[in-house]
Amino acid sequence: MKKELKQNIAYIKTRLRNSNELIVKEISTPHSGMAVLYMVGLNNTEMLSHFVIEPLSKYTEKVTSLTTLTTSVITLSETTEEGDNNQIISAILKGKAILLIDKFDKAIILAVDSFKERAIAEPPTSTVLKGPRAGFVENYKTNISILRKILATPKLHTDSIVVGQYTETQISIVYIEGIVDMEIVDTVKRKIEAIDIDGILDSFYVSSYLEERKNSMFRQVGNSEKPDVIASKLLEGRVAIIVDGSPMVITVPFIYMEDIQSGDDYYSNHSRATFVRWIRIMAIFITLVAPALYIAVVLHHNKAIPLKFLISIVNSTKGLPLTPFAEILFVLLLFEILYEASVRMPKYLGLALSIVGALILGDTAVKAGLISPPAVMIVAISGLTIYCVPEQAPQLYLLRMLFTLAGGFLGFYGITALMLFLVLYLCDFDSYKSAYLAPIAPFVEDDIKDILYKTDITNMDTRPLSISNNRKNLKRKGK
Amino acid sequence: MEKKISTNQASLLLVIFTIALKLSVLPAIMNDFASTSSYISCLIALIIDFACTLIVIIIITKIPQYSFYDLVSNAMNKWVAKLAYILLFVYFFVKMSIALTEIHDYYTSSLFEELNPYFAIIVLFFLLLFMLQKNFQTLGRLLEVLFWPMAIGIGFTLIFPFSDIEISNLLPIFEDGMYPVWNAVYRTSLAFGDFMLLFILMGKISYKKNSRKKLILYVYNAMSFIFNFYVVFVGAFGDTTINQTLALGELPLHNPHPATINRLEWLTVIIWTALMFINAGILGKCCCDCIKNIFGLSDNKIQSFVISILATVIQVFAMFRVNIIAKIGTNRVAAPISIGFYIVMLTILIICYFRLKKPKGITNIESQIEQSRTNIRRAKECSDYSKS
Repeated sequence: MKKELKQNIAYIKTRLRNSNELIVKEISTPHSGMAVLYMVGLNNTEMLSHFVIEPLSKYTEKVTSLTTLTTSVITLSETTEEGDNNQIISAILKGKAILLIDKFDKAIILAVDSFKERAIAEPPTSTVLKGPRAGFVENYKTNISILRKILATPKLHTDSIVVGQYTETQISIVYIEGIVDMEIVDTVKRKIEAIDIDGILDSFYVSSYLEERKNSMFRQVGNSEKPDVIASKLLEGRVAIIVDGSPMVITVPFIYMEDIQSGDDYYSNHSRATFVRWIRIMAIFITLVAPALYIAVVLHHNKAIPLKFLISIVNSTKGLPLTPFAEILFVLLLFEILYEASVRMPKYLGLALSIVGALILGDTAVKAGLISPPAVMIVAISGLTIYCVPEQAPQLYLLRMLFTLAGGFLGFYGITALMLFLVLYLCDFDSYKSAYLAPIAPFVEDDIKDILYKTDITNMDTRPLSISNNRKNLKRKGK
Repeated sequence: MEKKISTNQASLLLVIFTIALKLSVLPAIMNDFASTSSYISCLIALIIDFACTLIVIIIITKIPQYSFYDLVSNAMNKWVAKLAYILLFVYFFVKMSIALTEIHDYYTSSLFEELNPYFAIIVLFFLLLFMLQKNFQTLGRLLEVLFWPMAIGIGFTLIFPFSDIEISNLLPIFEDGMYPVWNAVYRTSLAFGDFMLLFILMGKISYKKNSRKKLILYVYNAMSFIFNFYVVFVGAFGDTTINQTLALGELPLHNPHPATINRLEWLTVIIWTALMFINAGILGKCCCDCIKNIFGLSDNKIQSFVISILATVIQVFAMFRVNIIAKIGTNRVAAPISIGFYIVMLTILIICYFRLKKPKGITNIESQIEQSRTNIRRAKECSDYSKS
């Protein structure tokens, strides 16, 4: 910054390519010239007028120091002095206003940034029957404040890092000091600081950089839009990462069994929660192997199924133009197409899609003898079970296809071999000092009470040992 | 340095290793030698096996920091250690061959007539290659995931045959005297001796309080299960036991009850296949460990590739000469060799343990002091030389 006001205004205008959105409001006072600069639409002009422009226009004395202005004239709560050109330009672009004063080579940054954001509402990705309904929003400051409201402790730390050459996105690393393993915090910081990218548009970008095993179809970073879920994960010793512009907050370390747990489990009866957890585990298994077992039995091991069932399958598949293997692959593909179309299609066309999918493609294709009812039924069951664990859906779609191919080509032999490949792969997976399949493998007896069954909340008195934290074995209650 | 495995993982590895090869062809083979007293032969063999396992467990838990190689190299010398590992390699490789041929024989001859064997061989090659590249900790974790579903599955399929047992099938005991019973133990000795796995796991287990008890309890339970299985098997099939080539699959198939809920043996077959794949993987991994110690390799890739290729060759070989390795395993030559091998390995372990405990330990310290003195002297000489 120079000491000449006009030179500074000209410099900023040039840096911002004489943008039409840049407003330069000059204020004339008896002793010195001043100007407030800001980008239109990114800030609260009422605040600017009321707390900055109005007091300044009434100020009649000579300005001797910027501190005098910020302490006794400008009544805005957040102001900072800045002399670096790049920081000043960045502040304007982020919605802040700057105050330039003649004969001063520094600017005052005025925190009047305000952007219209949506209200805190129940997130569509994780609706619950019981429990808190609040969800995160796109503004990271709001998200941190929501967490602070739940975790009212000075030990809740937030470290901010700016990432993205063009977006300059704020990323906050949130953790509870004393519970978290600081080595993990350092690793996360190091990884985020090393991100060299044009822009971060969503937290998914960051989670891709945080994954320890690249190119894996299994997610290694947890995420949630629900503040209560993130708060509970912080209390267990995890690190949360809040990305400005994304309502999805990510957490590490992540273990596979987190997907089996749901927010509902903790706000309902524990025996019901245990039952539902087993339903979810079974659902994963059914999704994976139902089409594969069907095709393996029909093609290779038809002695294994009851005679009556076998006769009914033979009757229903008689005269079909496709072989059973091709048929099941065709139905699976059709299901994927329907799913993809239903996600992308505008909502008002949803009903039409249901009619096309269920009636025309399903019912008519069966009646026309193109596909058999058992194949449709098997794929429908496995399609339905995927949504018992929606977080697992992306990999389950792919794995279901792989298992079907294994069952079709090699029957039980292929299914067993692929299952071993899969489990072995997952067993060999350590992420942020935690085994991916913990607490099943390695077996952690103390943690089973919140995985394979859900014990009553009064019995859950220790933090999980499956993830690395600083207070293992210590009671949750008190010190 | 390889990651240590927990006692739970070590126990499960030992259980699977103990059970896997005894539930398919072995009951029929034992029956061939000892007729209806074959379950007594099984009991004797298990008692001997259990006693040996107990000795090994006690020794390895007393010196948890030593691998078998380190123990023998320290107490004797590295060439004896290498020789012991060559013997171990042969043992594990023969057992792996038996496991692979059993998988192959069963699938091609009974369940899977139309299976293209090359497909199955290719799959097995990649599966073994993948398994062998992992460490024992990963294999242990694999078992922690799969053991209980497999155990429950086997238990479920074996509930029904219990009602089929006819006591008359189990009697008379020692119908032809004691010789056939002992002969069965002697001739099938290669199928036992599962404590050999502990030689490989030595130094790799992280022990905690009650680890020893846990290991012993798991082995005891595994052996009890095997004995009960043989009793049920002989009790259900009687004189026809000899014809049942896959005992685990035949039991649920034979009894009339599943007719109401239809055939359960497919469930057993899946579990048995998984069990055999894992067992072949453990055996292959033991072979890799032996190669690593024999040649002093640090990388795991070469030996896992070599073992996978050898396993594939065995599979191709098995396509033409069905069950030949199982026959070799029970012939007159294999029996004394395997028994001699067990005795030699146990003797080496015991001798090394006692030598390490007292005299050899002192000698080691003395030699280390002497070595340090030599090093200091050499360093001084070098320093004087550089000054001059």
